[in-house]
Amino acid sequence: MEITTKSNLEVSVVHLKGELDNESSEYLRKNIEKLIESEKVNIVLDFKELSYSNSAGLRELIALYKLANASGGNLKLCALQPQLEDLFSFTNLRKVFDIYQNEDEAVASFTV
Amino acid sequence: MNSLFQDDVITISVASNPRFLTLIRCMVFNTALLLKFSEKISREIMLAVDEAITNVIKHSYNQCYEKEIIVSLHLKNDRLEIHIRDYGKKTDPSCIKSRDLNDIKPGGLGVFFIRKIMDHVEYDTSPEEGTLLKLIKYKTDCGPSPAGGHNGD
Repeated sequence: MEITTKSNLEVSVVHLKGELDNESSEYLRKNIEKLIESEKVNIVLDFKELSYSNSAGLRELIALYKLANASGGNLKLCALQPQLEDLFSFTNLRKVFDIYQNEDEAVASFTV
Repeated sequence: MNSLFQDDVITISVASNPRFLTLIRCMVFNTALLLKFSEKISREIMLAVDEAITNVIKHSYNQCYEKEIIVSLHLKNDRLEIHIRDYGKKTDPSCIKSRDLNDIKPGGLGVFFIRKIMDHVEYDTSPEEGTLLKLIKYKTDCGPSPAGGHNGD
């Protein structure tokens, strides 16, 4: 999985490309932990190019969501692709995460 | 009924290393499409198999990445049967628990997905060594699927 991050003063947007599974979820965690350690606690995960996740990926998302919240921030999601839509429909995770259609909407939600 | 598939079997043997999961996912997804499952259902079957093999690596082989896992896809006219054979610690079906979705915490999601997606899940521990996990997904245009499965939950 490829991860690219862009940050401004308010929000960091993390683009994920590829598949989120047992191996790549660890890579994601390290990236997000770095952001939070540098006090960038408002985070958008952009799933536009994320084609797949398994339960290991979801577990990581839950853990990172809790970490961001515990640090006084929030972790929001955008641009879920069909497989991710299915996963979130299977579970109650839609009730947990704030999910937006695209990056712009997700970023704007932090300034409202 | 289209009888393209009488009892074709595709078998792959891989090491118990998570890096091979991508390969297996690809094989399962494309085989399900070949059997005329929808893209959505094919993605779900792929997820169930991914979760099952992840559990084998984690629990049967205790994260040892050099053991053998054999995955067989049995193409039937009315269903796709997936057999996952390992030679590790035997699975005790009574100890396998799905997660309560009202409890927002990590863990147990894999088993939840397997049971939610597949019509039939059977852990055969009769082999001398290891476990044979049988997963079955019926095609909905071949009559009602047995109890359980995606539409029954």
